[in-house]
Amino acid sequence: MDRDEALASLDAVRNADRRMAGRMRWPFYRHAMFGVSEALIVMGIGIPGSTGIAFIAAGLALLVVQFYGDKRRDGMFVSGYKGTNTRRLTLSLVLLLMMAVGASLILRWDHGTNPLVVGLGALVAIVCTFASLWWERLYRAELLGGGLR
Amino acid sequence: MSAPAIDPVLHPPARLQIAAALERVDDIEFQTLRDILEVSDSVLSKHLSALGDAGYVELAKAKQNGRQRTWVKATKAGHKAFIDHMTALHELVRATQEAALAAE
Repeated sequence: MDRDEALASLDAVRNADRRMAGRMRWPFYRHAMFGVSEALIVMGIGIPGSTGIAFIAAGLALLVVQFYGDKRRDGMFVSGYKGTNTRRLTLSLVLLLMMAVGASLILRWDHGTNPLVVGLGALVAIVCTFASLWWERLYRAELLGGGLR
Repeated sequence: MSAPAIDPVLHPPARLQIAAALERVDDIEFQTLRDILEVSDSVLSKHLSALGDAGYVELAKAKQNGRQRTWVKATKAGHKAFIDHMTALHELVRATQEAALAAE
């Protein structure tokens, strides 16, 4: 292989990436669903008894719905760990969620629901929704900018 | 440790594009991949078969809306082969550019 062939091959990959970038668009409700599912899990940990368990189960079920929904709607699934900057964002979000889970455990009452847990859940929903939107923008930028190689 | 070499399996542009697309997703449905790469069913099947023979991709059948769909994903070997191939391509371009500059 000579230099021109190598450059043509790299161009072919860039073209594929550009086409992929055109597909990497998720509807807003998908981002919001992610935010809500994480919020349900965090709140579920801070709420005692069967209500808390139901929240966690609903959050996990919503994650499964997103997985199959992505596949049905887009014909593909992309996890948060794809890409470079996107992976960093995902790992940062995981860290934040772990802190939120810790806070939820601290705020947990033996009986009843601490309103602060609900507030924490709302905050998690907002942060995760916007992190998901940001993730999409970062991923498309990496595809268009060749940052994934 | 030797530098990554050009992989003959990934040398055809269409196959390299398939590997690139698979690198960006966890898995992808056959028709979606075909539409993205703008190739025919038969061309995609042929290249996927070659990539599968090399152990670079895995195909899985799954029913969706009552129809059988084929899902494609890169294997660990496929991921490594793509990264190595891309490194070799960049290295080749860099080396020839340096040689050209040195000759001036």
